[in-house]
Amino acid sequence: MAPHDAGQRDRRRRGTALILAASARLYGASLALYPKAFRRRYAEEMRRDFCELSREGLEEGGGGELVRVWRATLSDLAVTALKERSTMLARNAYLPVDPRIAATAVAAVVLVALTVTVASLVKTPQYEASTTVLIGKQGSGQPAPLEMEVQELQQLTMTLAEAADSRPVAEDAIERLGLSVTPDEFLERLDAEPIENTQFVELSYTDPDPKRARWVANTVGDVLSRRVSEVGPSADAVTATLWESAQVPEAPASPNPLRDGLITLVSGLLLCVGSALALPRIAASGVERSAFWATGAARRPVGGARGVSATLSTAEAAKEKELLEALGRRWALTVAGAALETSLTVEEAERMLSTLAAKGHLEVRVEHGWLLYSLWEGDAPI
Amino acid sequence: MGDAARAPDPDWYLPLTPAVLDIVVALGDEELHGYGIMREVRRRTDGQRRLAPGTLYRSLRQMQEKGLVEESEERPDAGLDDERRRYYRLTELGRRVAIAEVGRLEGMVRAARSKGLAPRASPSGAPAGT
Repeated sequence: MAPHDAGQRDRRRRGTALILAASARLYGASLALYPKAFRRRYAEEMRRDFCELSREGLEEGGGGELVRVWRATLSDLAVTALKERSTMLARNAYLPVDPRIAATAVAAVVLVALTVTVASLVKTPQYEASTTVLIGKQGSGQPAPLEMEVQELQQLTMTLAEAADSRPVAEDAIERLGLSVTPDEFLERLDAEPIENTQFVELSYTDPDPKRARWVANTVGDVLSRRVSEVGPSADAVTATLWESAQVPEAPASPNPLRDGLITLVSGLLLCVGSALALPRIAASGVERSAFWATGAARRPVGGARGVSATLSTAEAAKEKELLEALGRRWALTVAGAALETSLTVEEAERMLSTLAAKGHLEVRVEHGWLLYSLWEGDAPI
Repeated sequence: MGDAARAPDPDWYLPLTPAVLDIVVALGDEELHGYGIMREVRRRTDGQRRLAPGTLYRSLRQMQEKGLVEESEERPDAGLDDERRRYYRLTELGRRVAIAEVGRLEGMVRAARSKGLAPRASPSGAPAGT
């Protein structure tokens, strides 16, 4: 063998070893994507197997095969790490409610918000026209202190706002306009509000017809002005002058489908969040108390499973109670045995038993190939 | 132990995912470590199916939790293999679940065949036309 060939082979071997080492290191680092418990149990094996795969790939197909191994491994890693993390998330019951219940509640809120929006869309639009009336007082010739005068005028403005929204004004306006509505119906559509810290009164009328809304608002302003001038034509008489006429409104004042839908959506979601946080705690406190007294687990002093139930939904807490009672009766159960003894499915039993075991509330051991879950000795019923 | 060890119905675990089915078939007649399972799956399917480490170990975790596989204390070829490798084997439940799954798949193939969705089996057992 020529020394030149041997040297080349040696260089190639060293290059391969370097690539494999770098590849293994990179894969080892990417295993951080898995949850800690999974890593602790399998990371070493996974890293070793990946090294074997890479070495085999390089030997069989060179760099191209190594790239294929990496591509397949990375896509697998992304998917399985995500799945494993979501499994851990569900097991640790980080969420205060069952995700399916939460999804149903959110869907219901969205549905209600959509219904409200649609209902708003089909509602007849209402237009609001407003006019402004200036309230004043003719001077009596005797000067009064400024402060008293301002106070008096503001009181007067408030009084006239009440007067504008009264039955006599409504009857007068109906008669003048020849409307076929009762004074009560008319007053429901009319609104008179004093504008704060001014002598203005704003008169608003709401009607499905924008032109009629404007017409009525201006007429009410007129009626008010005339009736006030008729009350006391004395030297210090009160005056009501139409200051700004109403315009034909361009956009309806109500309904506002977007606003209505959003308000329903936000308040519904807030209600859901509030219920999700409050109800499980209230329900679980009752359920778990009975469950743990039933199983004797209440005697467990520190880190007892009582703390676990505090974050479970009502349904989950009831299932946990059932499971703990079964464990109390049978002392030790397999996942399948737990499913047989309770109304839980195998998946639910598996999830709950492993969660309780992971939190140290149950003892786990293997007997004849069976994974057995049991209450700790001190928790077992006497 | 009484009811605690009462044998569960294998049907509860069905259907198996393709990865789990690959693993139970690979472990059907021998104990293997993770990489051995990968190699066996690739060999059996002529490289058509390859288990990546994430899918393999995630499936093994689920199978261990369900009592379908367990770690073996023995090292079948201790002289050749790394001592640190973990070997896996089917439990009795795992074997019964595998048999139930294969039976389910056979029923499915029979049904598909009766509807012309799969080639008819020849008298020798191989599908017609092969």
